[in-house]
Amino acid sequence: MTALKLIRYGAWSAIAALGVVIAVVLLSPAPRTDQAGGGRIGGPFKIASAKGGEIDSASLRGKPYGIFFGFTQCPDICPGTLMDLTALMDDLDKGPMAAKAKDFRVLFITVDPERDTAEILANYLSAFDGRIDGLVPTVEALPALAKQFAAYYQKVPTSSGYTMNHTSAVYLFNREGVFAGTIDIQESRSSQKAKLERLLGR
Amino acid sequence: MSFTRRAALIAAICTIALAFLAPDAKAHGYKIGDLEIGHPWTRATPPSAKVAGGFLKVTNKGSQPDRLISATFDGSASTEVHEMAHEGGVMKMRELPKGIEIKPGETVELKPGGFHLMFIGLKSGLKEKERLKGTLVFEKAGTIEVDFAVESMGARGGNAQEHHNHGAKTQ
Ligand SMILES: [Cu+2]
Repeated sequence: MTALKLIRYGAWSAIAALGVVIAVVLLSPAPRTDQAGGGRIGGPFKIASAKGGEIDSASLRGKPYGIFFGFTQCPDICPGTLMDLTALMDDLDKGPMAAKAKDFRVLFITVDPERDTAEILANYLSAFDGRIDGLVPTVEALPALAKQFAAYYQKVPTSSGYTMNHTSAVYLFNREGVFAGTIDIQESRSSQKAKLERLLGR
Repeated sequence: MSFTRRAALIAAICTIALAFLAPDAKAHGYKIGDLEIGHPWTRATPPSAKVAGGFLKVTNKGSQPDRLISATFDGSASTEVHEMAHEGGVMKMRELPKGIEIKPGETVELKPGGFHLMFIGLKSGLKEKERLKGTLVFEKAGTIEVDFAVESMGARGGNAQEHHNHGAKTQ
């Protein structure tokens, strides 16, 4: 029994380790080119804010920020990631990074502008940290915007309508607006926190 | 010690003992035929949310495979059986029109990041600590009515280790 258990845990660990390796390989989007300022992730944008008006990348200069593509009719990853980010910011607010954490912004960009109106998105985000803003791109602008961030999204039909597949990572940008890596819901809270601290600390 | 005092003492001891013996209110389970169903749960939703995931465990104690083919939830207009997978940094979700097989002797867990029930068209927001009724429909065992316990918005079910193992699982 114990030997079996041991084998099982061993097998799981091997699978987990392999998964991590695959994830690291797949999730590292061209990190080295960003140093030179020629990063392929990011670039200027101007998108309607769920709270009214527009948010444009120039107005974020001097503030580190995260960008997350999702939709409100998402059962798990989106609310889960928003909860993670809310908890992380709350955590940072209580520590030595509190002053810097005030500058941090998260932009939640809907990949489902057909159903996610500004009103729905603003209402939905009221459950999370106030530094998270909702953005509603037009249906026409969304493909180019996603491409700019190498983000993937796709409509998947179901019997009662459709759902969306989408990139789960939160893209991080430093105060100069340069891509600085990603954080993901599947990472441990401590690893997420370390990445945010590194981003804010600069 | 007077009779009333002794009676009060015994009553107090019984109450405490019962509190310990009674099954944990958070974990509940059901049986139908050869299937054991563990702790159906869902999560509190942000305002305006139109969907929620439904989670539970099913153990097949019998000798024949069975399938969870559909479900209903009192809080939503419709319910679908879905699978979610995290592949290459993308969260992918799809409907399983044939449901989920539960092989004899196996336990299948519907949990965040994997198999789940998709409650679509929520009638109102789900609030933590509420309980809502629903049904699970199995191909062989039939239909059973269950309660879905609404847990916190950030609940992930199980422990972190389990979650990480699952996250690394690829097909
Ligand atoms: Cu789903």
